[in-house]
Amino acid sequence: MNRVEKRINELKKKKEKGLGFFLMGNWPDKDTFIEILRFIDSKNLADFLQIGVPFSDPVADGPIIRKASAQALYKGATLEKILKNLLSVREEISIPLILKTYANPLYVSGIGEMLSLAKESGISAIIIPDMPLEEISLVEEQARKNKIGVLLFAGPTTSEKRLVKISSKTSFFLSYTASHETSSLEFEKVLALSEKPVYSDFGKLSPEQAGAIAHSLDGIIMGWALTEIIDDSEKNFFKEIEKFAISIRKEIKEI
Amino acid sequence: MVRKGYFGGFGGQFVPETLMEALVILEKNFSSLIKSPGFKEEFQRLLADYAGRPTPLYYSEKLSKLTKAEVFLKREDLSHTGSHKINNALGQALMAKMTGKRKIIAETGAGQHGVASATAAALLDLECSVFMGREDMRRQVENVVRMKMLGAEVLPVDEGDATLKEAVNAALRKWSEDPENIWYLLGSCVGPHPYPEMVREFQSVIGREVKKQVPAKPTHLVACIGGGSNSMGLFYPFIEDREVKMIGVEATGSASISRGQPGIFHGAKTYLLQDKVGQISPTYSVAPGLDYSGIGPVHSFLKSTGRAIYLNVGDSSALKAFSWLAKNEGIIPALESSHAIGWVMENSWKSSDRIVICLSGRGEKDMETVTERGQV
Ligand SMILES: Cc1ncc(COP(=O)(O)O)c(C=O)c1O
Repeated sequence: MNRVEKRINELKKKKEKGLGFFLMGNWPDKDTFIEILRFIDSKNLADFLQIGVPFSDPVADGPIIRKASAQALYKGATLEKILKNLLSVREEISIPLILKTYANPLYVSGIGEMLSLAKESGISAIIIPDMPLEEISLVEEQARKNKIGVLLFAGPTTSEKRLVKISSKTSFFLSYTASHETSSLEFEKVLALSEKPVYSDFGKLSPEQAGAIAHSLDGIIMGWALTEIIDDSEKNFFKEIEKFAISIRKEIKEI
Repeated sequence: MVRKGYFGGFGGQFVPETLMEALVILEKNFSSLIKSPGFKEEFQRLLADYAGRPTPLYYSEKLSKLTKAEVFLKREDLSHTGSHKINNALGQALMAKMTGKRKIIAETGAGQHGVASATAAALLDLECSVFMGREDMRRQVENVVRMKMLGAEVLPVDEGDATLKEAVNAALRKWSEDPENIWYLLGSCVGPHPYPEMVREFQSVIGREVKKQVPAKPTHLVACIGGGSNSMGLFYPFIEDREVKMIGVEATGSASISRGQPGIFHGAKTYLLQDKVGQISPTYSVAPGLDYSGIGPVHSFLKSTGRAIYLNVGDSSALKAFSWLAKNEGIIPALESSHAIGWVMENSWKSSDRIVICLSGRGEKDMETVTERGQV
């Protein structure tokens, strides 16, 4: 079974809340990226990871990911190079991986070719911030062929009718772009409407906020939290990542 | 199957989910208002009494003599605020007002769309913020002052090359924060559906007027291309007149359709200047309004069917045309429009050719640039 799907189902069965983090691919450099990946995997610090592909014009991202994206591009990172880097450690890593890319790098590099390489590299799902429900058919066929799930977003501006459609179309779970201001009432509504588990997808939350949101939903994904830690700490960000992830885990798993 | 918002294989709605509901509502409002007598009447009144339409179609004796063809200039430079951008700004701002929005945001390159938006906002009592790349603010100082004079807030954008592409990114981000209350007044025929169609609708007045004004059917329509709105406005009403040739002139350093490849950017599948792995390339042009890596999806479609052709000229052709028109016709064209004029001046023509050039705007904003470039 698809690794992401399996993990989401296990969590659901155990009634445990899930935790995912975003990492920019091949950043801060190619080798350190792999070290971070290995570290998170070996210490079991998350249930899955989103691996980002840098883009020249990341309209859906805030300043921290934009900076990492520009740095990764500067060092020559591309979708293909990131996937090949992942391929080189595929056998050693068991954490489920989701590829997060803007539409254009995937489209221009060749959807079929890239998704087939993604599969080889251990990617189990893909999420494309600028490809909403209306356009997702562009990748669906190739994703199906390669047994890669296609995840979709919903958010506070999504209407109820639309949310139902999105939740039936998304593979495995729904990424909900909530903020710490989103009320628990709203989460309850989303959860009730959604056919699939709902994960909040938000840049960074404090352990308390994460706990509160996880209480209402099936889990959380943090966008730029680790990127900020890696960017901020001069040397031992491994320790900082561990500390942060454990503090979040503690809050969300204790519910 | 014809998909909504697609022109052939181009167009679509490639935006984050946050904006989808806003686009759905926008589309609904646009298609109902555009048919409503209340909107139509008020828009017509504003175009006529406020913006000064119809703009003249001027027979340029000197350009005709130079090219040995008949050359007409569609004088968008004479409309209020000095460019065609006012047509679209008034249309969208009026719709924003009629749908109860209080705030508009806009991006601008040359500052002409920013000024037009700020003007429409002042007239219709809307709040207005304009995103502008820092480099463009430097190049178009006069327009920055005008926007502020009109009561708009000008927000500098420092990312990347700090030109039009980055200004669009910033506007899209801002819109995502509050799509329910903000109307994004996009300034060209680009972006996700329904923008290309909406801007085309508002700019088509250019071509409709030309049809009535021109003494006999034109053989060629020529316009400069940034995102493609003045060109689309001129071309579209002639689209069924197969014998009328349509030529879009880009700047060589930002020639997305004549030198680029299809991709997905700023909401649409369209021609883009990009590298082999889909990263958008920086662009360069002496004309800030042309300095953009993308182009409207309808143009990509017209290219694919061969209905329109697209080519490009460099800074020097534009600067030459700029000076020539000023000295010979007493008209100072915008550097953007000068690309279209420059191409016509350099091309060879037959005496039976009847050319209409869209003089999309006036060049007062470009005084510093042309001085720097030794034209004065
Ligand atoms: C005078 C003038 N002409 C042309 C353009 C290019 O835009 P478009 O291709 O949308 O007409 C601009 C854009 O700022 C402009 O100010």
